[in-house]
Amino acid sequence: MLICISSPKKHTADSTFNSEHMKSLLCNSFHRVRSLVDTPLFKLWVFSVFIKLFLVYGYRSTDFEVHRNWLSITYQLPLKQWYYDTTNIWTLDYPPLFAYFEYILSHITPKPVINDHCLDLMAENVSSEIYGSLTVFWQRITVILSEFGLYLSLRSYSLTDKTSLLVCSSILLNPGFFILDHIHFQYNGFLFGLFISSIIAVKEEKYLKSAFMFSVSLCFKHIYLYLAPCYFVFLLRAYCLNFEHFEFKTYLSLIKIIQWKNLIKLAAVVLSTFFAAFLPFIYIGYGIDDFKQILSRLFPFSRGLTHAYWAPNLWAIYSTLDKFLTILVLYLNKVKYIGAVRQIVDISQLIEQIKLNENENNGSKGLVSDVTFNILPQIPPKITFALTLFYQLLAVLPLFFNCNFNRFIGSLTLCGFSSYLFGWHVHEKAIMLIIIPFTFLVVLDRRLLTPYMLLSSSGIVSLFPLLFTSQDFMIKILYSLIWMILYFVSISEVSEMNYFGQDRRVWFFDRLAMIYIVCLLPIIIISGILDVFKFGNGHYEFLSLMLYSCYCSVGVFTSWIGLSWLYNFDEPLWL
Amino acid sequence: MVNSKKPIVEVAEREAATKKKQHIQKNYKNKYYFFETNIYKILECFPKKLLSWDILLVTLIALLIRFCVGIGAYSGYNDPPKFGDFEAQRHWLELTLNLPMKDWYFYDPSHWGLDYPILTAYHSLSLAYIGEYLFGGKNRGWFALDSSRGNEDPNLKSFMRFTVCLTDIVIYIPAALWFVKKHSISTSEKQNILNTKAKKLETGSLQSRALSHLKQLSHFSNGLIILLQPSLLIIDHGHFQYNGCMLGLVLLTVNNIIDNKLVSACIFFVASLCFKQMSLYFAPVIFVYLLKQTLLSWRIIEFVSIGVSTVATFIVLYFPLYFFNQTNELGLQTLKQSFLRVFPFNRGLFEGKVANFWCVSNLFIKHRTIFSNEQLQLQSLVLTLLAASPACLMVLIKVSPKRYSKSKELLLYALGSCSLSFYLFAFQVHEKSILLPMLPMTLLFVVNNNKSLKLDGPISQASLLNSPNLTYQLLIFFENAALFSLWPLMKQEGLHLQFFLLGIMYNWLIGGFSFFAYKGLGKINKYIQYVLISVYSTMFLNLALDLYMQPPAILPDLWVVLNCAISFGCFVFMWLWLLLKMWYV
Repeated sequence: MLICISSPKKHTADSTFNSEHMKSLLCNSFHRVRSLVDTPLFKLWVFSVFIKLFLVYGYRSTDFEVHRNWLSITYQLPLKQWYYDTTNIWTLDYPPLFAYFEYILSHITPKPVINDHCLDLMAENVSSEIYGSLTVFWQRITVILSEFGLYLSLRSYSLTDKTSLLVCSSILLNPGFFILDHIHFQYNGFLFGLFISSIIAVKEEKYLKSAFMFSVSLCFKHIYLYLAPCYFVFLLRAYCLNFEHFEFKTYLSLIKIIQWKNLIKLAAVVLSTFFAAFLPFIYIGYGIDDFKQILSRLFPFSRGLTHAYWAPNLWAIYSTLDKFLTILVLYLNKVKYIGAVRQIVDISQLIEQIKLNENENNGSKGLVSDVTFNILPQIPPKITFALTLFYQLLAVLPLFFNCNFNRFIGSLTLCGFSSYLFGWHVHEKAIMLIIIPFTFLVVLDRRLLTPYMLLSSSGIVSLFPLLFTSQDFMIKILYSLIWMILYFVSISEVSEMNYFGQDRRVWFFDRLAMIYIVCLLPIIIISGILDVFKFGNGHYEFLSLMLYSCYCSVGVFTSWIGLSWLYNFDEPLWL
Repeated sequence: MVNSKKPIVEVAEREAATKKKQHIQKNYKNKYYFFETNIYKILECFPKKLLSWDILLVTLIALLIRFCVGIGAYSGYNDPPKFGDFEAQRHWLELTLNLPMKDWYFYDPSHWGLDYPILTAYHSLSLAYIGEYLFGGKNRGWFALDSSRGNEDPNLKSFMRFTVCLTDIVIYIPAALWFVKKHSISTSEKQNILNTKAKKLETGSLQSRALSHLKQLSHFSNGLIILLQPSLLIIDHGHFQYNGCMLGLVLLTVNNIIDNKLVSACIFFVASLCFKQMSLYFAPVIFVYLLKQTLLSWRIIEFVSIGVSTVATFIVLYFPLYFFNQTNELGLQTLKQSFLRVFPFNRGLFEGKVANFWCVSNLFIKHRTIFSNEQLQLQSLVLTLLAASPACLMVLIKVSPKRYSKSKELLLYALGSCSLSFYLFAFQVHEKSILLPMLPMTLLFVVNNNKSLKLDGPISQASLLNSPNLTYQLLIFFENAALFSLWPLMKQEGLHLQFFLLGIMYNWLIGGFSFFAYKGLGKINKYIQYVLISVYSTMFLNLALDLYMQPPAILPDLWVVLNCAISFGCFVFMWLWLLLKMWYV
């Protein structure tokens, strides 16, 4: 049952606003700020901020240096050189709006922080010794404050009822953001705020606003391109096409479906947003070549199939399989007496290949470079794109026939899934692109809970290897565990058991999923032990990482299959 | 849906019942401030079912905060050659691991010789085993004899932080949660049963059902209030010590006394004494309480059994130290040495700056130049006993086996008062000793919050002293004063961030700084609020001055001394308040 609570705080604030209109403007604005902040969601956020502030001087990854360098680039250099500068190896590779964001941050940096060499442009190996704790504090604070944007985007939605409050708070406190933003260092919270406001605009049926917000978030971080097909189809279908009075007489009547006015409005909004984002560059006279330079920065295709640490997707399993086959082949080579095998396959050639490859690269711990497989066939980018597009198409097609908010969120989630599972050079951080939309969906039906739990638990655990220092070990586990208990229990209580759901739920699958989730803990501990003891003098360092990505990919895959099943074969859910 | 099939009358009845329930809840919520705190507002976001997970969640949250605090620096970081308390504890791990038992109390007193009782040594040994064999300390030389001195490997730091949390999880956290659950049952529930019998059954049960939700909520927040106590967190997990273990054992003693299991109470108290001699601060009250409950109530058998169990525990704990020597004389010598190490009377009256009587009055009377060390010892002993005597007397007079709940409440006040007297007047007091009086003070939060959830309607706010709102606020004030008194130490160790965060977070969670939101009491309340505000602002002023201004060259310790003076004032007020409370129990 949903217990609808209106927002009492807001009303009282409004009434005081009316009755005391004689009071000064200051008082009014105070009330407005108060009503902005006086929500349960804000209190939850503040509590999490305290925890985040404790971690200010904790471990930070190279992404910290990346963002510091961008601050200095935007502060020290003219616009023309932003995308050309190579003083530091961490060059600017986000779209322009994010660069402007860094520009603003760098220009509001306080004096003492500037004196702390925060904004000095320098090579990567020099910088870490030069800047001090003030720089760290300032950058961490900007992350925390910018997360207020995420709160703002969720605020109005969280006030509607208790269930949506649960959804909003689970997003706001998500361990993914906690790990990525506040320990690892990135600005995901704020960027997802933009993206979420576009989702909420869809819910409120403000399609233009949604299109605008989505294009803005695209211009902040191009990772949202993964979800663009879904937006494209949805906005086209919901806003620009009208099948209500459709009657096929001639092909001309097809044209009548299109609502030209809306189409033009939508196109204008999207195009002008992109145009505005790039306008400063056009203004200073960037030519085609310069834009090509920007694009080459944004889409570095020279990278390999998998990231340094394999994100738990299809290619992680593929790579693991290859590793095992390699070991098997090497073993067979050692055991001379298996003549029968030798007759069937000629191993010697393979072994030469393996040795050649091992000299060149090392799939698990190598730098960002091309990955070659020893035994299994190589994967060209084309295959990954084909697979991604195919599954995205499958996710998007139903949206064309049955267009509503739930369906939209479902297809958004599946789009995220397919690009994550089959994409080229996927970062483990992209899991947030799936978890966040899915959260909006999960309260609809109890049966969605199992895939959601699988996804969020395995997805969050797959982020753990990002934080490898011993002091973060317990923090990441505890925070994630608390979040999981809080939200898995609450959501299972709140989410509705629709349509005799209990009969149609496959109970065995549920139990199996729970066992899987509980077993994540031993996996974390085993890999922790592997890290502590460094068996074979660190020769098996990749083993714990492989354990993580393999085990987590099972969860992500199962979750994808579960959601796909419900999405494609369960009609009452999507009415 | 299933519900819709049921008769409409029943549905209407149920709705009326829920409305009534909400009305009752509202009645309480309006009366008591602690329902308006942020922690309640946060808990209300979640469905009720979550509250059945409270023990696990509270434990995990408490652990998370502990590990987060642990990221900061520790005592004596980067400060050779002696380093600080962290090195002391690590050294004891190294020492107990590598030396035979008979040498523990003899080894190199110049570098943090072992000067805590035997249970600390056992504790160190077990942690050393864990570190050496489970966490690969052997390969990294964490505990190699002598050569590991001043080891500052970040992994070692993480391990040591982990051991503090491990100790907490084994002793302090379960004890605290036990107290939260146990106490609420023993005081309010028992009364409720009596009340429901007296009243009409139906209204009573409805009311108790309405209250049960509030009670669950208050369990949750009471647990957090105890476990997130900022001064303990910052000393144990910031500064680095194992006070949680000693305090947890004392807490177990209190729990057992509440359960009327006096023998196990004795065993735990002896254990806490053998972990850190500092828990002697509680000993007079516990002794008098047990005496009154047994011998003076003519329960001779119980008296004998607790006497035997006390002595037996001591013997069991210290026997190995005596036994693992070649001859009896050597064994006795080892025992003697261990006691000499534990009670170092040749040290000064106080160390550094402490907010106690001696340090503050030292501004006007130079005790150490006027009197010899022995004279001072005698003076401090007399003063301490004098200050502690009211608490003991109250226990002697008011405790009786017939008045369970009252005498248990009195026990907490008396423990607080007695240990505070030791803090204020005893010889050789550390600033960290404030943790001891703060333990019973924190437990009073639970008592106070449960008192307000009585079944026979909210307490009237007429009497100033018994008002739960005022008590609540004063308890927060004492917590803050204790934290404030730790500031000089924390500043010295570079734990600024952790200090402020913990303080602000705690106050934010339980509503520390919202002064006029407290209801009832009328004018007097207002004056009290003004007094509190002024005290708080002097504290903040002192902190700000300490942070941003150099003290004048003639008085380099000015800010620290001011800090001591302010906290001393607060503690004296706390002592008086406790006396008053004991009087009126």
